[in-house]
Amino acid sequence: MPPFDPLFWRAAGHLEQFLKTRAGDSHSVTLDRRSFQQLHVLTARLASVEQRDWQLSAKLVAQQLHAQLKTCECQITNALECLTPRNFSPAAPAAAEIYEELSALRQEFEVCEVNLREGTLSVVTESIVLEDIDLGPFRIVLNWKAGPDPALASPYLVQAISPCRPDGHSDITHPHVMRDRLCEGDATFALQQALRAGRLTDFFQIINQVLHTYNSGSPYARLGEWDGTACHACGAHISDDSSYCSGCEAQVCDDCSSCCPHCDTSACESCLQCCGHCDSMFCRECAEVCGECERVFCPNCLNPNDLCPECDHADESEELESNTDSPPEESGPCIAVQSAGVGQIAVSA
Amino acid sequence: MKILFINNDGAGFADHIEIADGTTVEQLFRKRVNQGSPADYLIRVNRQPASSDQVLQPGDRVSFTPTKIEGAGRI
Repeated sequence: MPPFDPLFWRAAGHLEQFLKTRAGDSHSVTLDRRSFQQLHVLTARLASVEQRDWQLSAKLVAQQLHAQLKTCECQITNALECLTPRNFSPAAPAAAEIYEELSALRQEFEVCEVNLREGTLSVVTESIVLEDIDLGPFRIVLNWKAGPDPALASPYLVQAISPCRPDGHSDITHPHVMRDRLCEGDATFALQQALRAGRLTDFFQIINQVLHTYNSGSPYARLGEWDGTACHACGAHISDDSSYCSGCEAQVCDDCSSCCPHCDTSACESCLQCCGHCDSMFCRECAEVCGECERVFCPNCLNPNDLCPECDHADESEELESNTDSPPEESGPCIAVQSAGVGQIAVSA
Repeated sequence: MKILFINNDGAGFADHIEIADGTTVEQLFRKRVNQGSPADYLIRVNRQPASSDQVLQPGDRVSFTPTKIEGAGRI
């Protein structure tokens, strides 16, 4: 058992008062109206970009819609949980219990500090690395002198100790942290419950786990933006020497680009065309249009008369039919054998 | 016997639940968490890290916290 810490004991007294103001009715159901409205907006946007055949946009909007559906699903699940009768109603914890939480917190995090003057309890996370991007450690600061309306005001900050920011976003230090505020996402309700019950260890650990998780469907900034290069199609982080699309000149990752088999240039999926006959993919420069049906084909599938195999075949069939149905013409490419008398001129006597 | 069970996956409610004598942490996990592996959770018994074969005692306080919790950003 760790030795008694008088600073933590005094902090526990302050936190007891603070947590009393936050311990309320845990059965209140809250649904964020904006989240559900956003479902309609994204659904309409997806239909719109699909109608225009904007495949990249459709992919991105579908990801956003998926994330939004999950958010709403989470809210509904939590609302159902709120309405479930429970046999345990957390009361505001006493100072002794808070002191135990503080002691446990010190075991969970290497740095756990109390500042009585500022009214803060803070921990420092290990360095957060998401998809090989090192965002550095973060300080999570719970302020028990938070505003007069604690139900509305977020009582904590998430501060980057060695800020690593994406290009063009000076206020973002993590895909889910803007201006030192964490967008809690799926953790919203669990954080509220932990604070209401005075479970400070859970509270800080939940925030820590959110910082260790990347939700690509709904970030303030995509991880690919951290060193200035993100795949234009999927948003993944790519190196500076990744290929550029020959069609739209956007930089794309290997998964989102292909090489045209006819000219060897690289192009993104949106700029590649699919042959109407052999299904091969090729760049716009190599696209050939059938002179009859005006569909797009690869250079290998058009005949010298610029006809696709179908139209070429149709032409041949028509020709064959017309040759069998109608009498042979007197003039044409074939050599005609003249019948007796043809070509003679009658001369009057 | 009764324990206090806290599931930080989802709404994060705490409940007093009845479990059989001799129940281990892993058995409780299998019973209370529909999917996932214990490795994907921080498991604490009485605020201390616990092994999966730890046998629970009456009055224990058990918490499961997922290691992956998705935050959000723009709406």
